[in-house]
Amino acid sequence: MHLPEGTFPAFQAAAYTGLAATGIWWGLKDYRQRVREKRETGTMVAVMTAMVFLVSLIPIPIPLVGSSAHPGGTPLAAIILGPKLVFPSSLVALIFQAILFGEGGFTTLGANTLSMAGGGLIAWLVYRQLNKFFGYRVGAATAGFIGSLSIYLITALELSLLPATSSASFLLVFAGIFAAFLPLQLPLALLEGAFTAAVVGFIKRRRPEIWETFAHEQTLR
Amino acid sequence: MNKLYAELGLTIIILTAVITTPSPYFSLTIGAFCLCGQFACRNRIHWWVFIPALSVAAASFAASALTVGNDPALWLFGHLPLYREGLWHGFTTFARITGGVITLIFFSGLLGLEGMTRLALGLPIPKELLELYLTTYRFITLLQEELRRVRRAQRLRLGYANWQKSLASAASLAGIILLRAYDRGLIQEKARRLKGGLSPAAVSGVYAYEYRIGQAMVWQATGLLVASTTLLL
Repeated sequence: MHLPEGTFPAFQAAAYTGLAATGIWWGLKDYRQRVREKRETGTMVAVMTAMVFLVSLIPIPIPLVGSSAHPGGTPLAAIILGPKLVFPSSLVALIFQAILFGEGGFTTLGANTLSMAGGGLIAWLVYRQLNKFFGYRVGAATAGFIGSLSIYLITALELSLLPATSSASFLLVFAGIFAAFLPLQLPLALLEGAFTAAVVGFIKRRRPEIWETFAHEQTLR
Repeated sequence: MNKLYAELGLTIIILTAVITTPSPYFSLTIGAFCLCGQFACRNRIHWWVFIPALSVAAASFAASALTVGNDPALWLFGHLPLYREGLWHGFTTFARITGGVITLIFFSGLLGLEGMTRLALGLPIPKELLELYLTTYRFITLLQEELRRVRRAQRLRLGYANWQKSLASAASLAGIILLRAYDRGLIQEKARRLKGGLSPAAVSGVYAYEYRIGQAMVWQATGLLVASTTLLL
């Protein structure tokens, strides 16, 4: 993740920005509606955004891929806030990282938002399915693990779509980039899974009213 | 305020030019001028912020040099061939990333969060996004404060515990941090609303960076001019 400024040529940067903008519009619509119903939603979204900012702050560069690895934080944010709010949340966290630390960039903001929020969206879908059959602990742990890996899967896809990345086939390049992420990202994803499950469990046990207010009945509509 | 928009416009033009121009010399020239501008404007920057981006740029160079190209190999590193086409492609990517990152750091270092906030308040950005941006800015400090306090408590209690206990404790402490930050945030939110919310006056006034914008723009514009000339030559 954290693809730096200048990674993509103009047409790709524009395409990713357009796609991310659609997600952000979707998220802001939800934000507007939920804040109107419950003022505290704004505070919770800001807390989770600050959490995403802090969790994904320390990147570990990955040799030969042109990117870096770090925990995402968006799987947990998606489970608590729902899948839509993760888009504006990721965008704001990435803007702060670009301004304060030069991590990521303005021209890669769309691509980075897509991978961060995409990971959150996948994590939420996994959590929703597994929660029904295996309970919230297994659901949250698996969602954290898969969500964290999904962020890198999307980044690998974005990087393999770069023009003239290699003379090898697209699938080979994609698999190669994703495989290069794995040695660092796999342990990080396992830790993120455990962390997500523990935090979800803690909030559910200690402050069920918060859980009911924010995470209850989240839908994709 | 007009100076702020002019600076933003110039930076957008430069970043767009960096990602659209195929010449690596263009990006490197712009990057060199922005780097000189950093010193001239006495921007307070931490040099370590360049390390991740430069390592990514170097990695992209190596990846391209060893994988891109179909022409006869220039050199063989074991089984890995080094192509002329790959070297050029890698150099272009390296230059684009380096030039882009230096420009971004120059711009954000010049304005800082205050300048960015003033810019954001004047731009046609959805008001919800602006609200989230401003609230998150406050919460980052709040969360960091809670994190420091809770980490100190954890170190005192679990200094000699094994890693399983430490991990379980760290996760529940993360939950505590989030909940405490949320509770404190609610109190702050109430206090802020009682005071009348965040009015634009909160970020008005003359800031130190405004004196440097003119100088920064001279460096950026000269860089753009010289880089365009290298493109024509």
